[in-house]
Amino acid sequence: LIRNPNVKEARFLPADAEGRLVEAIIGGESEASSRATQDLLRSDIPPIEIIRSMGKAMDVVGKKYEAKEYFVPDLVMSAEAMNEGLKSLLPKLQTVGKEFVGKIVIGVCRGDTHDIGKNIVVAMLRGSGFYVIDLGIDVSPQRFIETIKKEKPQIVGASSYISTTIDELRILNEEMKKAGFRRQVKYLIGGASVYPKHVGDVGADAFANDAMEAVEVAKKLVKA
Amino acid sequence: MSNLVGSKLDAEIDRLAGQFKEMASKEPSMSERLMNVMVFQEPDRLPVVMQIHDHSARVAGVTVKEICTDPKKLLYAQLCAAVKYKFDTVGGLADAYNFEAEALGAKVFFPEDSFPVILEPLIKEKNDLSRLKVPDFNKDGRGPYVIGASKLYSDKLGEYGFTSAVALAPWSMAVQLRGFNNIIRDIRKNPEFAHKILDFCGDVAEAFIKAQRDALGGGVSMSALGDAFSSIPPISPQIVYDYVIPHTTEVIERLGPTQWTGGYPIVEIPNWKQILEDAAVKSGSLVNMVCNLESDWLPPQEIKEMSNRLHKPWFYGIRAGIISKSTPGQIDEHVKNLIKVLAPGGGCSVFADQIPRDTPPENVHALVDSIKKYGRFPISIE
Repeated sequence: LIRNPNVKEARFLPADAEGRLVEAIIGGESEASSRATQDLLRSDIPPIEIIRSMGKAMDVVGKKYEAKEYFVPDLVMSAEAMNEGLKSLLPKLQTVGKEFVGKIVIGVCRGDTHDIGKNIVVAMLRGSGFYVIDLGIDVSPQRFIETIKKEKPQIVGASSYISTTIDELRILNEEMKKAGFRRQVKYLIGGASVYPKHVGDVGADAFANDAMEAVEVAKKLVKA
Repeated sequence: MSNLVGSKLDAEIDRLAGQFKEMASKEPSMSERLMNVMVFQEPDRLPVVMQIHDHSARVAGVTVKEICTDPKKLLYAQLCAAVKYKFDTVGGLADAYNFEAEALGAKVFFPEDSFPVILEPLIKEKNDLSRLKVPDFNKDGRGPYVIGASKLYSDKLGEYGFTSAVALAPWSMAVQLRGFNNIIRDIRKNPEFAHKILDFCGDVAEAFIKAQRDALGGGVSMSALGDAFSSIPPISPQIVYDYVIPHTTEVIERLGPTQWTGGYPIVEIPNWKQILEDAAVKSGSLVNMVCNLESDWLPPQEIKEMSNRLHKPWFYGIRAGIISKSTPGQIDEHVKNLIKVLAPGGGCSVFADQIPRDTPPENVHALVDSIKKYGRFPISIE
């Protein structure tokens, strides 16, 4: 049972719906995740509480991956299941932004279309209570800048899968500087071709090796 | 884009090919050395086996798009790299992961300085599979580019070149045609459809390899199935056993002796050795390759033991991160330690998993020099 901290009179989520949601995400079952989320919403549970339940599930998924019990296909299916549930929550999330751990704008850099890893990072961040604006693949610096201007995130995350697009991470940093946003945001980078040494090379603030690390690093960046 | 075209490009290719042949004629050929290792004999020294793609474009001053679309530019770039770094051979395609999908009709984007990208999966819905027909690689997509490149390598380098017939193994091709998330979803919800896709991919792989073999009148040095998408953890051991190995095995049975690189763990998992062994034995791959992409977890001693016990050749990858991010001294030490364990008695060797574009040239020199220095038989490393 999850206690809703925003309601003075103690109210609890229906145990089976929360359990079903957690199980559905861990098992990568999209339809079950969607049904459980809708059941929870019908019970008038605040979206942020539902997201915390999703976070619990993704936490289990992450631990199973680290233990080599789960593999990337399991992460993909769990991320999809969570995103399926999130579809019902998204319209309601806009109004509760202040309750999130932090806000992050994320995308795959210009010239790169590899998004399996980025999608897992997005799901893990959402499951950990971040408000994530996912710009998708092949994102130009201009699009990042426009979104930063509009959304005012605390963190900007960009990934590069192929070594030839690493320079795009540097260009994004330069463009953020030119636009005058660089000091207002923390810049997190990752992706298959990115190594810790690139933090200095491209002018980022932090690097994450995988989705689990991205969540931990993002939490630290928000507090910094 | 390079302005080296027409007769100027032809003249440069001839000049470099002459230079390379002169260099290579002084020693046993790559094929000879490779063959010795594969039959558990000791050659004069280990062959220098490199996967060099976009780095060769950088060395040659041409774009990645040029080497991915023009066989002459590809050969020129590979020759520039081979002469500069004193490789044992010249060969290889720059982009081995998109030919089949493109020949089947997928939209492919060619960035100027990066590898081609498939814009959207060709099999979006179930019915799309039944509309696909095995391509004629002599005319569809970049089939003529691949076949043209093989002929060019053979014409210009003869016995000093290493001409492979290369196709994607069924799993990686299925990922390219269907998209990773979709094929994973198929396995979960419609395994029969996933197997049908892989059956079709097997047919395409067979046709592609045969078209390349036919173009050279059977004169290919080796046939190979690339399968980078079948490693673990990108997929699970269960998928390797249920989908990757059975479909690959079927294609290899139809093709005859073929090298397959796939189905292996790139990070440490508890039963990694059993998976490697099963993939090698069940598939019947001619040579087995393995590369650890995470720290140094993969003990070369275990690979050597397995190779000797099963009497199957194994090549151990020197990972791209080590080649591009280490100092020349660190590379030398790494290669020395691997060769010391792997090389004695034949059966095992090392290869450069990939030389990334931004690798400092001194690192590539260090890599080649260390293989040539420590790989001389009899191996005598303290």
